[in-house]
Amino acid sequence: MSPQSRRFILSVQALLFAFLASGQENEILISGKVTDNDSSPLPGITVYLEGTQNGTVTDVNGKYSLLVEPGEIQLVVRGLGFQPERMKISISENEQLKVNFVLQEDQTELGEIQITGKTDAQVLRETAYKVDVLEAAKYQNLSVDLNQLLKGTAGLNIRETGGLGSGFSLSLNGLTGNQVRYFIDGIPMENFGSSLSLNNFPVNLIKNIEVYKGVVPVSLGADALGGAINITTGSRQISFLDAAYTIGSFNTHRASLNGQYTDSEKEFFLRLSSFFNHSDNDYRMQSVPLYDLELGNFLGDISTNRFHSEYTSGMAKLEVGLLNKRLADELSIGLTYSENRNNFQHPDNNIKRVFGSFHTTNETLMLSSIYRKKIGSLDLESYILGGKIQQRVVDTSSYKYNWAGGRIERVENDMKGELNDRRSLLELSDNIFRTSITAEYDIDLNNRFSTNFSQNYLSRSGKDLVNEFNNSYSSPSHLNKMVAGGAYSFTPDSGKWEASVFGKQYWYSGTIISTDYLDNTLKNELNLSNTGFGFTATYWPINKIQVKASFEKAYRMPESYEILGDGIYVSPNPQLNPEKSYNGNLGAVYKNMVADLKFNVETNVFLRASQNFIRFRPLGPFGQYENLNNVRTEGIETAVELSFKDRINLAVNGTWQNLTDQTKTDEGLPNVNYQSRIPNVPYLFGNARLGFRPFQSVFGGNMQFYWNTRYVHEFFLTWENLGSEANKNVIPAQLTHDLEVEYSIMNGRYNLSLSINNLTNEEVYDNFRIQKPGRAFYLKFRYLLR
Amino acid sequence: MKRLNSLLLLGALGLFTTACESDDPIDQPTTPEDTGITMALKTTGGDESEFIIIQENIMEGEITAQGTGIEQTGWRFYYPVGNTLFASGYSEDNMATAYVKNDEGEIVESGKFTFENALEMFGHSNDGETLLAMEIPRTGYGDRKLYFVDENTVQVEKIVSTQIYASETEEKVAWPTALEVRGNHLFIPFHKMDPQGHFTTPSPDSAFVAVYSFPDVEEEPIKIISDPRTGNIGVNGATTGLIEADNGDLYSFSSGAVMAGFSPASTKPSGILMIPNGETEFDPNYFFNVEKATGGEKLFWFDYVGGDKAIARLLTHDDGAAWGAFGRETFNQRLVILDLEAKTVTPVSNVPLHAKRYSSPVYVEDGKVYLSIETATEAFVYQVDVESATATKGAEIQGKTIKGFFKL
Repeated sequence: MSPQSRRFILSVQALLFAFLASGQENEILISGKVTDNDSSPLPGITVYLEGTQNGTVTDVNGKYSLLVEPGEIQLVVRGLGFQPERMKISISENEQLKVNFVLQEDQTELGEIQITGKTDAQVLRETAYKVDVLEAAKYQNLSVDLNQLLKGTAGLNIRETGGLGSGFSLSLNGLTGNQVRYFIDGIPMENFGSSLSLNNFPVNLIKNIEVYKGVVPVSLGADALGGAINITTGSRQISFLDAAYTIGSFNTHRASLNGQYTDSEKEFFLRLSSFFNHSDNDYRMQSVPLYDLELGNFLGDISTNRFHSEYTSGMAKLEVGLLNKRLADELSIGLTYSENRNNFQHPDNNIKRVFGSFHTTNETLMLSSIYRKKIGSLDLESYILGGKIQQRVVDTSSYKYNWAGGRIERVENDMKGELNDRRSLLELSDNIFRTSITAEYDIDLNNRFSTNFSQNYLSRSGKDLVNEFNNSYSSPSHLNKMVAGGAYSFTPDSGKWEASVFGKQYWYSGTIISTDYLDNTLKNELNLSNTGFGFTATYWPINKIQVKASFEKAYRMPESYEILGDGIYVSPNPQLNPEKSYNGNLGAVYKNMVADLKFNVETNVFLRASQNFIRFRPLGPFGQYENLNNVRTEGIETAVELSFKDRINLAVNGTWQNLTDQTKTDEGLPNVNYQSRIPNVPYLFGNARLGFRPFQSVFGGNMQFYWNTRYVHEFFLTWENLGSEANKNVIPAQLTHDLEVEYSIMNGRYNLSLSINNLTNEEVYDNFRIQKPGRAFYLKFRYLLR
Repeated sequence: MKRLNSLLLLGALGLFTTACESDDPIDQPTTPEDTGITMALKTTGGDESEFIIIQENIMEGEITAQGTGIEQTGWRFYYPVGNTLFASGYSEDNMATAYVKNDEGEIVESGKFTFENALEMFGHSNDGETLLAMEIPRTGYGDRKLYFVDENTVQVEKIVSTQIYASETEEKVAWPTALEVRGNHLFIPFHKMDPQGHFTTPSPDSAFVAVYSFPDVEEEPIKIISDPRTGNIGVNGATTGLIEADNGDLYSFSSGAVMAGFSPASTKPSGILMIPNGETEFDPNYFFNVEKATGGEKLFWFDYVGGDKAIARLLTHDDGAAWGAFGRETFNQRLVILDLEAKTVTPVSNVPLHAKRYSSPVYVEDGKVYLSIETATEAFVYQVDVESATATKGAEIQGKTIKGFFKL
């Protein structure tokens, strides 16, 4: 088991062991805190009196309290992955005791040591979800953002259209785009604006990334068709300052400042998270077509630098909160502001159209509040969030550009924009309001119940300041999504297995006001209701092997633009149904240790049977989104991790997925691609990462090398079965290598790293003919004070 | 068809990468075929990929892109000029590629050029040396751009800007429905349309044709002729709003149907006007009232097949949705042969009622026309004998439609 997944398990334990906290009479209170070597609080650690049933478990802040009868007691503190601690205490009456523990990480194999005696159950509470947890802390000295970290996960592929800030598409076990939902500390990130998309976040702001594949816990109440990614930002219980600055190729500058002050009583915290990103992204395009500006004749392919790809973004979030109060373990309020500007060199799907001025901007302002409280066996967690998101699409230039950087001005009555048929400055204004409450209750040692209710409201209005003919969004439209879920888990006394079942109810309502092509105002009331369900199960046939199975019938509600249309060429379709998918996972984990070599092998097979995919159907110059496609995905992913004496670490994973079109007919005619592989989707890819620490110490500091290799097999732009082989359009195979060196002194206080991305300067493409950056160097300085 | 707007842009530029990618077709030969017919095949499923394929016998078996054909990217117009086939895309792939047959009988790319948004109307010079193509703004009063493209070199030689017709006070612009050259004139019939991009037809009760000099097309037409006997000429996307008979007479068709994109519908009967050879005015004595001759059916499409005859599709009713004739909900298109001189309508036997949204100009060989006929559940090639107005069912189409048949 990796350290990442351990943390997840600990929090699960925290919920399950709460039953031990039963009260007794004539008692005195022992309380305290359990931390690891780095003073990080450890949640989910069992604290109990040896030989009794009296015990408790540490909360999310590592704190515990226990009522005991006076006398000689032996307090035992144990948690998965740590060496147990024992302490003898003699207690007299009328005393209050504070006892803190520092647990040492257990260097022997996790899980194995826990199989005997009382702690069997702990091991068995490893989650049955197909979840990967990436521990960002390991990478915080390196010049990486979230997307780069995520790319290393089995089953996950990210396709980018350029450098920093460029458009990207994330696919998880074959489901893509908005079929995968994103969360930050459990709060859905959808419609947060482009300045808060994953690729903006430097790794320093993140603690862990949890990747749920296909089956999503009830607590993340959302319409996630194909899975969810939850970013967690770490404990509020410690004080630290983390400042990092990266400078690199293409005039790239990335800074992050992340600090937290928590008072010594752990009753109050103040946290600042912030980042700034800029890159010119002026990397070389090896082959782009040059057309003359006057007539459009093809002059040949040229190699040139991008000249209009600058991206700048910034974010600051300030949080204050109370901790460990009688009515709240945490009650915090946070204010977030972010903005960006994104210059586009070309559309995300076409390099023949060249822009010299077209850009978008985004400003987001959000206020959020989080509440957490544990009351006996009941765990409550709730958030509320409101936000205003402004987006501007600026297509106002009267110039026309080509790849040579040349431009000509249009004649006066030619109102064509760079992208749009008519010059346009579209301002979209979204108001969002989200709430959620999750309750988890341990009925007894064997039975647990959890429930969630989430609500997600969006109102959108907009206007075009330049194109007087564009009346899209002139009347605000409203959409509200609600998800309610309940889950029940059972663990037998033997602790050999665990199973849970869950159900989710989705509601979707809204008022859609749109104009038809005759400029009539149309008002549509929406009301959709769907029920999803699923199960998770896990079983340990022997100590070193865990088998996991999970299944969910999941839904994705239509996006606002799919259902609302755009008031111009996309007609609204209030009859649009949600996309639905039957997702199944079956996997096994094997881990062992031979001498100094630890290894962990995990394999998962997955099936996604997805229906009612939403697709645009044209009708004359107009059209609308309809439920047209069925797609099935079968796949297998395998990850192997080896580590030797904590000096050498090798992680390799590979994914094969077969997406096939299961749509039998298309508008009544046989679908010629029925059961053919879906084109333009990578289906075979893998990663390898080698970490190497050559010496214990170099000039008093730590040095670490990393080598990353990534491979994506070639795939076809359109259907593999159609067209003559000689002239099929192909997105060629990618094989890229990154090299990273980091050097830390003073126990990690001062850190320096050098990254070389795309070491061999390969010409690589995720999308047809849209080249990604070549070799790039990044130097990062980081100061960390704990 | 294509729509360009900021919202989709957000989607396209943002998190969502669609399957629509751009492409430069590759100079690779297809299977050599000496005598085959070249076809533009639109397949079913997903993005309805299109392929240029060549096949000798299209009257038996099936027509499929399985393992054959030159892959196109996105929706394409196909228009032949001389021995060259132009395939022209939309803004997702804003370029046109020219294809010819080489000495080995293979279809190869002969050149390409780009444009800003989309070329949506096509024609050619009478010598077959020049492609005429027009880029039409969808909103506003901007110029329509007429491209002159050399068929051999595939070089754009000049672009002439013209509004054709525009009135800011009446809020009307022109949407051309043919580029027809005869002698030293270029005739451009057009719809009067709203400038907001809603594709409404606020003046549906007259036929309009702008007459230009040719080849030296000026910014302003010499004149605009109109005729109140029928509605606006042509249908969106069809290049044959105006056709030339063997004797040089020009015939236009007017639909006026809601299902053909008219909004509001024309109150005038659907029918055919004529501009006599050598003249630049409608013949006041000629009107072929097709609606009356058929008891209420409206023209959706026609093309010239020789001998003063046209092949046409009639909408048996106009009760479908707006633009419904471009979709596959209502199968009410009836295939007929029109005798333009005798003003008769002869049904083509053995052809079912069908739906057909787009056709390149027809290919006629030895008095026979090849068409793609699509019903609710199947698509077949039909060979129509013009003289006898009878059809023979040919190969089954493994796809949605064949947009055009060509002999290169």
